[in-house]
Amino acid sequence: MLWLALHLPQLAIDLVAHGEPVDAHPIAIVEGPLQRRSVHAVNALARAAGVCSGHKQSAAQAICPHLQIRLRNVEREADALQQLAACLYRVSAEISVRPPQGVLIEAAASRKLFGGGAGVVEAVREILTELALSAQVGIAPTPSGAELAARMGDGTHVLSRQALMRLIDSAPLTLSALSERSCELLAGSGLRNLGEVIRLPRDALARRIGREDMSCLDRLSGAMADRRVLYHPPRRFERRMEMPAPLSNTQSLLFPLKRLLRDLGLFLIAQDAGVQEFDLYFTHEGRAGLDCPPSMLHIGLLHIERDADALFELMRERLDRFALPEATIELTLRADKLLSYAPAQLDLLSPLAGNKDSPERLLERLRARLGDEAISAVTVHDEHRPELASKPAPIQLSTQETAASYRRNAQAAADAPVANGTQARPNWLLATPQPVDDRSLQLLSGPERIESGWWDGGDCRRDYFIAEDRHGRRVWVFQTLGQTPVWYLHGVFG
Amino acid sequence: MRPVPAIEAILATPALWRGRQTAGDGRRVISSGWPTLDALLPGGGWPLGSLIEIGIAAPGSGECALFFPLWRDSDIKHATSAGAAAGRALIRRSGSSANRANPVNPATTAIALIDPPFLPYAPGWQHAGIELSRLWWISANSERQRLWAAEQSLRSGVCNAVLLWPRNIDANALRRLQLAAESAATLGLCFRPEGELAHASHAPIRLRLQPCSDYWNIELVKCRGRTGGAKCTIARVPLHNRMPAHAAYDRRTGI
Repeated sequence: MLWLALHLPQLAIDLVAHGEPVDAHPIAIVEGPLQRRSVHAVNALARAAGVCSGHKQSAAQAICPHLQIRLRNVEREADALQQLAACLYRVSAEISVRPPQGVLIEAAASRKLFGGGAGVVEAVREILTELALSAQVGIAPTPSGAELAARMGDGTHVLSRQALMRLIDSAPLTLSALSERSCELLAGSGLRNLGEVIRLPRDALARRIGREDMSCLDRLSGAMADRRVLYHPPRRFERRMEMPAPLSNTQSLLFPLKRLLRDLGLFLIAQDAGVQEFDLYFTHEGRAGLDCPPSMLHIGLLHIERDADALFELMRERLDRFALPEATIELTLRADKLLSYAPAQLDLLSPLAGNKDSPERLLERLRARLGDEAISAVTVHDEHRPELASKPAPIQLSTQETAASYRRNAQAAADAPVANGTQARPNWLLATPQPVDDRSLQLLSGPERIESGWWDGGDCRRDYFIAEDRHGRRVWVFQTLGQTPVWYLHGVFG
Repeated sequence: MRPVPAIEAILATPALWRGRQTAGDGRRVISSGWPTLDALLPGGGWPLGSLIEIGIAAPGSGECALFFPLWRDSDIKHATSAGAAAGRALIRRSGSSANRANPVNPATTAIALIDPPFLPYAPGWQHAGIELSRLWWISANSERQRLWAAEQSLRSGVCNAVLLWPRNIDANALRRLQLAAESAATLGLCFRPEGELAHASHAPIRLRLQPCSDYWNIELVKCRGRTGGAKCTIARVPLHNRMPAHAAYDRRTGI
């Protein structure tokens, strides 16, 4: 086991930096009740002016009169750590979040994938750069050891137990994970290093610093198992992206959308999941004080998808047909329902193996461009009136079994279409029957009388014939029953 | 000095069409289901991955019925070399052995109807023995959308056949469709008014289909792999027995 710890002492400052340039003024983040605010973190300018964390707010302002004060937002920091953990999920499956400032990942299992320990560290640093966070990275064989290494300074890598023990020996007490009270107590006794503390008689030490801190020391020295609660990524995805300027045309939204979908794709791969529906929210700039409610585009797919490129192609077509009421200042992508995803399997021996398209993807593309209702199948409806016997229906992609069973039935039906008594029906039907001159027709078969529908107003009394028209086509015509019979063309056998 | 490619390597290029030689060596063909038609077509069936242009006097002249046997039982086979085993090649594998040797691949069996001139009528297709779930009825409201949908469906390789009734198509669009069909093993069926067969086209097979009482007259106007102009007749499947006494039914009274 090899643990990689991230220590983020500047987390609060980094988060301020996401919204505004941070290097222009000395900034201090304060916390605590209104009357006794103390400095939690400072930026480089403030530190240069002499402000340190732990100072009273009034003292800090006295040292540095231009100091800008920001209130600490613990929730936002916790969110940032969760987001960091979600991104680190690309690197390792074993992640433990240690609020307020630490994240821990197991690196040994990922070494091969990233080409050695250095590769893992590089991948982690890339993620940190991507999220614009600064962190101290430490590596050690135990979780507590890695945390200590990270606090000792960026790039403290300890690979063996012996080296870890040497590191613990020389580690100053202030960097340990012991409680503040114990640290003061031990410092008061003249102890400076962790090594000195660990070598003290156990019983006496335990009485003074308490059980919790004692087990903390035990975990560090390896006398006690170091168990961590592992991070589990959330089963939903939400990401927002602010536009640098209000965008009013959908084409210019494609680029930010591509980034959002790429994030979604990475998230889905890490989760081994896919999405079937998600929402895209467009936050609009209110005009002249009027609030413009965000518009939403709901995307429902026929199948479960996780490929960012495929999703982008679909979104591109959908966005083309989507009219934005106002300029967009923020884009939010939300997928609440993650579904388990089974990648399509190709047939090794099939002559068609290697085509990367699937029926689902083709249908999605067609639907995205032509509209959801443009693609349908037809089904037989149990009804005597011919125009009601066929109805559009959603396409059901057949499975191997249904196709095979159908094949048998079809063979049987095709062998004896007339013998089994079913009436011949045309494969094409006219949307509305067209009057036809019966002198141009040569009747081949019939009549088949259809009388139905008197109960629901759609009364129909017709004699159907199969006939040949002047083009030689076989057509399905009917004659209305009544005083003045009229001939209509209703279907074509073709 | 550059190596001179062997003549065999050049001849093996599928893009090469050698005049009178029966093409189709190694190309995959699919039996049309009509022995007389198979005998005309090089390799013994429709070449997969090609655009077939069919000239008809009016929509519904039997252009779909011509393909019903193929869709009922579509086995992909490899064309045998020129005529050697033509007889055997024509025999469609049937029964359970075919099922085992070449299981139905549901991914390749969709039949895309791109904006047909009439409504597809489910009982009719079912009567013809076509599984209804294979039919994709794609509506499009402009010629551009129709061609786009056809090209997408052809290129994806997930359809068995893509049927298109273009209202107004030019040579460039036909060329695009042909390239799309070639990129996957899909049959592209393009139904055009008979008169338009006079214009040049890139489609490797162009034929004229004329219904004539109980027969279809088929004329191969152009066919890659053989000279054009060959003709054959196919007996249409009888729908019902001919009316025994046609006059017995009085058209005026309906009795």
